[in-house]
Amino acid sequence: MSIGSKWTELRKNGLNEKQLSYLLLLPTISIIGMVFFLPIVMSIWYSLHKIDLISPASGQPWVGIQNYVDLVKEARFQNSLRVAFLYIFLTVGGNLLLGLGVALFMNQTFKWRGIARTMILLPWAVAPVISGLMWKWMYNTQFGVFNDILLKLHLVSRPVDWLSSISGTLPAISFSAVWRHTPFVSIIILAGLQTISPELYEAAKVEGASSWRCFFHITLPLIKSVLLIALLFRTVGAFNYSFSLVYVLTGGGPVNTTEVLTLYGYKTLFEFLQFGRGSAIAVVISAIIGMIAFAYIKSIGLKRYV
Amino acid sequence: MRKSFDLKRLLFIIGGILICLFFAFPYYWTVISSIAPESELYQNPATYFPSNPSLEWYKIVLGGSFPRNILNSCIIATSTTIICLVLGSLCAYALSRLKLSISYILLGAILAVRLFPGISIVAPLYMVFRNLGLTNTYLGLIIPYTSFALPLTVWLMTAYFNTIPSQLEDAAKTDGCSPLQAMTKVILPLSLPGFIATCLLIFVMTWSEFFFALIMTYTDKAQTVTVAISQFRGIHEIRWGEMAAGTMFVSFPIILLVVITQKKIISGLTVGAGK
Repeated sequence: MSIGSKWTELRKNGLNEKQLSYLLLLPTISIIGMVFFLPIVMSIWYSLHKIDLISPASGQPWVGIQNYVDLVKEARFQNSLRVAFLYIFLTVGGNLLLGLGVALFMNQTFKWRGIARTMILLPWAVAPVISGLMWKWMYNTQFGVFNDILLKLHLVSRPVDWLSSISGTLPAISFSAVWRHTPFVSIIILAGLQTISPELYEAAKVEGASSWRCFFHITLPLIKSVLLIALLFRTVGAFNYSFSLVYVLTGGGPVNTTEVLTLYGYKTLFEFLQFGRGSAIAVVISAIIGMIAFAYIKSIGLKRYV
Repeated sequence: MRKSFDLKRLLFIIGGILICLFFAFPYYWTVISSIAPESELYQNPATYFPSNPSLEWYKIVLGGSFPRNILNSCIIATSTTIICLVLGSLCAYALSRLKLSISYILLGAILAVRLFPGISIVAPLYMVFRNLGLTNTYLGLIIPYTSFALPLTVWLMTAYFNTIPSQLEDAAKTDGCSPLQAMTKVILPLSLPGFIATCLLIFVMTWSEFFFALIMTYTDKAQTVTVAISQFRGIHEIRWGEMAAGTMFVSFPIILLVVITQKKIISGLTVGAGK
């Protein structure tokens, strides 16, 4: 068939379904391909070279896996990896426990439920980086409200340096992340709770089961998949958002005790201007997230969405 | 009969109040800090109700370059939202309706993109954008934001389209509509609630972004609000009064949105999580 007659056929019948769907998919696929998958491949390529933007004259020689070998041996990299996982453990743990509590609370019927829901959603409306700044002000040693409250309640005898102690700063940062990200977790868990039929609880009550037994034998098993989704989403989110919080709260200090992997990667790229080495860190981060994402996709199963 | 004293109920109320206080207090504190004059802001012990509230910090913030940053954020977030809604919903429609063999792979890829952090693609994008002269421009942020928000759009809209029975289009086709007409005249109007929820989530996500904005912009020509607020610095310390006032400007519109549309946002968040 000639192009001309194909065109007439198109004008007459419109696109058929298959042609239409590929046309609809094309813009999204090309954007994601060019602005996501291509840069990932380029990051891997950069990570196999020595690229120092400080001395452009030295060129960009191929170094193979040298950047990765250097990283693995480096104490600062090992530290940032450890800090990142500790941060994730504290933040996500706090998110899930508090999120479950909040969801159970919101699942009750009471008078001011609408107002309570709005108040609980407030942190979600604040950009993560700005929530970091708000908490930095509250943690302020001299004028911060945190110390003020603790002093008034006689829980501490003198102001605490929240953001400059070796062991206490990372938990303090995680605490602010718990505040910012728990609303999301509780909303997901609440949605899970609302799918449980009340008849189940009634039946259990008739048979004399206590509230605790109901919780462990009905509620928890039925929201298991929702909890898993929240866990994986938050793990990835904690990894990704750790940058903005730590960047504004401490910048990685004191003595790198809060320098998470994303922050170290950022510094290597845009402060030390070592693009080869920085890209190697970016690839390591991508690999870690990739593994978590794979676990996530496996666990929820894509079939029901397609 | 109701008992006069119910311990369980009392515990429930106290717990509820504590939870609400925990989530709302930091925001209350920011409001207080933004209207406290300097003498009360830097005062020990802290003031919980400023005795001489003033709008001094707001005036200082508005007198600087901050209005320009707000404009930048508005333009960037709005453009990203529009681009994503148009392109993403088309893609979502194809995935939801026109059964393709590659849908499965595509949806997996799209979900994966949603989970990756900015740092995995930032180095090459920065190099390319610098060569193209796109750093410190609106486009330099709209492009990466689109690639991060598109997967979310596709994910949410696919879920919404899936809730609309396909018999509706079949009926339209029987009446002589082409597949394209069936989509634009029957399905799109029906998925308006989905569009609104998606729109809100993309806007908030783009408005709040910090990592790319920090790297790609360096003057007020394109710098967004999140970067501007994080750089309200004096010689040693962040200027807290200005930070608080700036935070109010940036968060208040979003909070208003949340209050008005919380049901839609909640439905979007739960679908977005893949429930």
